[in-house]
Amino acid sequence: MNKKHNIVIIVIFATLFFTVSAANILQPTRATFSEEEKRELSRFPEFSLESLTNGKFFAGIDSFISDTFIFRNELIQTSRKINSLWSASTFFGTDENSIIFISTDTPSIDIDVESPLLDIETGKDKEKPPVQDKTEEPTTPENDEPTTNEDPEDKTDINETPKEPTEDKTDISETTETPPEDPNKPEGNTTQEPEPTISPAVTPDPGNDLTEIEDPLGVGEPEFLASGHIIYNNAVYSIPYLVKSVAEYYADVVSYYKYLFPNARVSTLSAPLSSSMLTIPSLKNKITDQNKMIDTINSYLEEDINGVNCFDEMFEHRKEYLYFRSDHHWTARGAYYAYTAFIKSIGIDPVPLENFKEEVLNSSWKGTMYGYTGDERVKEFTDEVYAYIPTKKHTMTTYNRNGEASKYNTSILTSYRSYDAFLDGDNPYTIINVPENPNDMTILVLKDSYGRAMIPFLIEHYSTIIVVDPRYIYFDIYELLKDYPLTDILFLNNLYNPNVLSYPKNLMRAVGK
Amino acid sequence: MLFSSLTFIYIFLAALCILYFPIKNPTYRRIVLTVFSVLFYAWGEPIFVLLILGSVFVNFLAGKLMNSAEDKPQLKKAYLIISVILNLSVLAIFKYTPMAVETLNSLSGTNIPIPNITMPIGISFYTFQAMSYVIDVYRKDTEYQKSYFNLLMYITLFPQLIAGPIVRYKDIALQIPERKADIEVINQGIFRFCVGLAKKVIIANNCGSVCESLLNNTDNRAVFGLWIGMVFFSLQIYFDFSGYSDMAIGLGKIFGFEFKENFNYPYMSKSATEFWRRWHISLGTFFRDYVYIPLGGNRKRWLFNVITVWFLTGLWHGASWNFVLWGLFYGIILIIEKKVVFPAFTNAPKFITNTIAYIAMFFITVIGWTIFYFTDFNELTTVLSGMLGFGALPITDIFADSIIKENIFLLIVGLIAAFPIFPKLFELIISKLKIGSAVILYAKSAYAMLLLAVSTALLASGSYNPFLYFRF
Repeated sequence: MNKKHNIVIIVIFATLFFTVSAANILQPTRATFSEEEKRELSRFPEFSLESLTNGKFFAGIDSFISDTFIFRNELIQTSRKINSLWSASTFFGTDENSIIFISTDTPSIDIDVESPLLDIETGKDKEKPPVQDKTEEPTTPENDEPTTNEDPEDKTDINETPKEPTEDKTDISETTETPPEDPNKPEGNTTQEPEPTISPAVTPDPGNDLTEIEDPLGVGEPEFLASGHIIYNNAVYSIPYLVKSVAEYYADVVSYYKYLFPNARVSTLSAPLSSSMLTIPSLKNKITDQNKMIDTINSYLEEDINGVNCFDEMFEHRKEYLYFRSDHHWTARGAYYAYTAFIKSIGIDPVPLENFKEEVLNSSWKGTMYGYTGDERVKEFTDEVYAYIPTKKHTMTTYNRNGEASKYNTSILTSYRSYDAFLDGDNPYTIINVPENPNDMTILVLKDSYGRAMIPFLIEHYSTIIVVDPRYIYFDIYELLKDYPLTDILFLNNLYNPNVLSYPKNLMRAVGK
Repeated sequence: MLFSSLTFIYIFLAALCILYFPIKNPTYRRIVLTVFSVLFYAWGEPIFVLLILGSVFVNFLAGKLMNSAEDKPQLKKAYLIISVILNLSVLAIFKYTPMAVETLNSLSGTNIPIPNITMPIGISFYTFQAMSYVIDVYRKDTEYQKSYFNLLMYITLFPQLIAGPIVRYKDIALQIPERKADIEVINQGIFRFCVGLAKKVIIANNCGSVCESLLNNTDNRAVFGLWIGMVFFSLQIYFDFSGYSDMAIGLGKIFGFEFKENFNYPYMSKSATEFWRRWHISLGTFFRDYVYIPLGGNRKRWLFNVITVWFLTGLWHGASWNFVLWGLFYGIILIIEKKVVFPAFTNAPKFITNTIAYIAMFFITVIGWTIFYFTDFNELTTVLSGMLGFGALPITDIFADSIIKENIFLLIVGLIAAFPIFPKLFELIISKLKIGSAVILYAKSAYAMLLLAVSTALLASGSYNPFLYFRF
């Protein structure tokens, strides 16, 4: 009797099971990009004797099957709901004061990486001064005057430059395809818009994956990000952790840039993350003291580097809306206070915030944190995106990852209604020109996505702002800019990146190493 | 390849079933099973698959030679000794060399560079299975296997190749040539597999992440956090290992093999002696039959035999001295139980002895797993002293509170599932309500399908890998 039932059961089971299997194998089209994870999904791996014997072929098939499994997105949603069942808060709710740690990945790896300073003659003593002295020094340099561009011979002679300028268009938000070779236009007098002489002469090679070092340690796995996250009061707070060996390497990379561009004043500003502004007593001494962490990283810098610590300026205003609740970025207001710290550190008065026109780009924006954490509670958090419009007329030319140039008459593209409005997202290379500022104020900013919210404030002071994203840059910026008169170089990144080896490695890649 | 992967379940297993079941020829079926098993192993070890093929050949040869030397006992013994030494050497070289070199360095002050040898998966299991074959042939507990291919099938059989149970050759020798496919047994196998998969994917993996958060944050440890962390680890290791054994037994049933049970609700044990009859049973019986009894068992030099067996049991679990310490920890407790505790308890009232037993076992088990978890001695002593109140750790802290609240129901579900509470409850309901066997059958299979669906969802999310900070 039972035999009949067993047959029914096996038939039902087999039908369901083999349908799922077949559907997976016979899918006519497979997803190739995950919008939520912001990454390419795995393709079927290439077969070779090497990939077979080192295991990558089989592992590649595993990734391929899981990345392109049918109903993957729905399955991920379901698993999030299932995993939310473990938490007391799903059944008993959370009150505003509860602190929930949703991840705590502390670093436990020792990274051995050779400093770029080892094989250059800098004439400087490689032994760093004792650490304790550094942290007691004021973070603003004593010298209030710019230390570059004293020698007029350093200025590039326009007739000698081999660089090609872009077309002089002032159309609003129309993207233009500008061919790299354009006839050299003569430089007019200073009342005209100056010709950029620093446009890249190359386009990225589509077949050559120049961008992004993902496996800087060569261990076959993507790099580990030491981080933690807290949910508190309907917002997500991020915690970075110091990885000393990587931060020291980052400091050496900064010094290497000083060596490459000896006439520029070099500054660094690592932006603290949102958890730095929390003052909850029970968290004291339990999460990273980011103020101290910035000081520590600054202590690894050589004496002639201006390591800015913007913590105090931001902390004073911590009750203001400095960080997003549902995104890992700071707001433009948070970036403003960091800007004041930087600009004061080089002896210039910051423009008051009231001088800028405040615009609301979006009043119910949902950022990246839900996608990153997969936590169902985060799904409900929303943000408002404010922008502070620069007071001076300026143009911005962006070069995207395909090398295509687009020119705008603004640096904040308000039609985007998200953090991407700032500088049109992360592009490899961007030039901002501000005609009414003095010609001898030029700055190169090496930045990650945090940098984008702060850069528009620099428009108040610099005539030329060159923005490089080391993760995506596809040419050697030293070759392009070595003869260009740079007043300032600013390393502007969040406090994670000096501790993530691929970031300083990408900075080295940007100068051809 | 792992059982808990979408490729294994929906591609490998599906393809195997489609090729295996339609054609009833036993030779064909043996070939299919063996080829798929070797492919299963090669998937994770494309080079070391040659090692296992060679190891099987050596053992096959030994069996054949021993059979032909039936009348020359000295020669027969020599063949046994050589093959056992070869098996153990392979294990020693690939698993224990780094540990040996490190130990030599720290003892004698030398600075020999530690060779970077990756341990082939499953080597601890398949060398033991191979040795059980040659020893059983020597003892004439079983006939030698005339076909290399059949011996290969026994050793590489994918259900138990990577993570056991350790299947004795003589237990399945008769199942090798041909097995009858019984639908009822196949359904039982499917059910068992789904339960094992759920144990691993739903409970064990999640407990694993929790205990990592509670135990690995060296700057922020609290007494309560460490204890609960080790409870989560106790759950993780039980559900992981027993889940794998469940999947192995289930898969075996699907293809007609009956493997012995490997776990029997070990956390119900009232003594460490009982624990080792309920935990990783196939390993315990292996050491009993091939080491303890040959050494003399409890007839002569009992103390030495016990210590040896537990030293080896610990060492088998991992190439690091903390595992040996863990084995000896249990060995000593077993000795104390046998000599002191059991005699003292024989006439005491059950209520008292049971209470003491369960409380003692909780501490013994958790402390034991602490020794098992921390491979670095300094960290181990720091953590143990912290747990026992000697370190200057806070009782609890904000991390521990948060993580435990976030996973409280996982803890509860895990603790309940570690005991036969629900099976007994259902048995009671079924007998009281006189539910028919057909209903039970359908209910069980619906439950299995639900578990499979949930596990599939969790496996799919395992591939979720946001490249957030590097790209945006």
